[in-house]
Amino acid sequence: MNDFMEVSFNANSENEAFIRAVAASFILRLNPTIQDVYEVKTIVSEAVTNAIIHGYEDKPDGIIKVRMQIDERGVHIEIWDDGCGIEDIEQALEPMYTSKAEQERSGLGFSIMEEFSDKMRVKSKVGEGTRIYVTKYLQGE
Amino acid sequence: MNVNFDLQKNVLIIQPVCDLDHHHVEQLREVIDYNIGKKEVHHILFDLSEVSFADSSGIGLILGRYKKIGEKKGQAGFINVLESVKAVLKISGVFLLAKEYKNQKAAVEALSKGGRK
Repeated sequence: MNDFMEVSFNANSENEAFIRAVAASFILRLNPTIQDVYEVKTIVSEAVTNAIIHGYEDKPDGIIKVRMQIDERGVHIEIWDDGCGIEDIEQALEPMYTSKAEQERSGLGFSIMEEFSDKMRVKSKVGEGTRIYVTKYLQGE
Repeated sequence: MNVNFDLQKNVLIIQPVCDLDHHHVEQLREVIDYNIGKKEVHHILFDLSEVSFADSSGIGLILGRYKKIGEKKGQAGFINVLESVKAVLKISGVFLLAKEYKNQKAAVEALSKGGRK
């Protein structure tokens, strides 16, 4: 099995629930466990929230793209924005680090994504945007 | 509003009825803080029975409210946390700060009698 899908949408926080539902339904054919579904939803949710809050700084006309590819072993997820980019990726990946403490961000988004995925890579260029690549192997039921 | 409130003794029970994601958290924060600010509220109890999804934004909301009730020298607790939600909350270490109780009665009993910090 090898299949992919791609969705683009505005950087509007209402789309967070939408893309979680899309991600969950796309992987259903792999017979994931409930926990697997939850983890994929969380990975996508964290990345899209980052793109909205940090990448586009709450400007909803920005565009976010999510691409998911599945094979027998699991799912590869790519989350892509054309926002402001991350200056210091290493710092952004530190647990509890947040550039927006005043907004009560926990600084745990990337930590949770790492915890729930098997591989994660962040590519970013200031002024150009950010791409996040995640691989998650599914156990199946 | 996507949240129910109930005051039992001096414990404010906060029951969100939505995903605890960035979108909903932005709407919940103000109304929860307004209720925490009432003088009869000494402690808070999160009833997560209607929360089927939470991510780091939800953790931010919970930690922020924990701080708020801490400013009033109060304690926080949880009931009815779904297993999958628990897995996310565990990453934050929030259960070291606020205990999970087996039911509302036990939680209200313990929190209201536990006194302030």
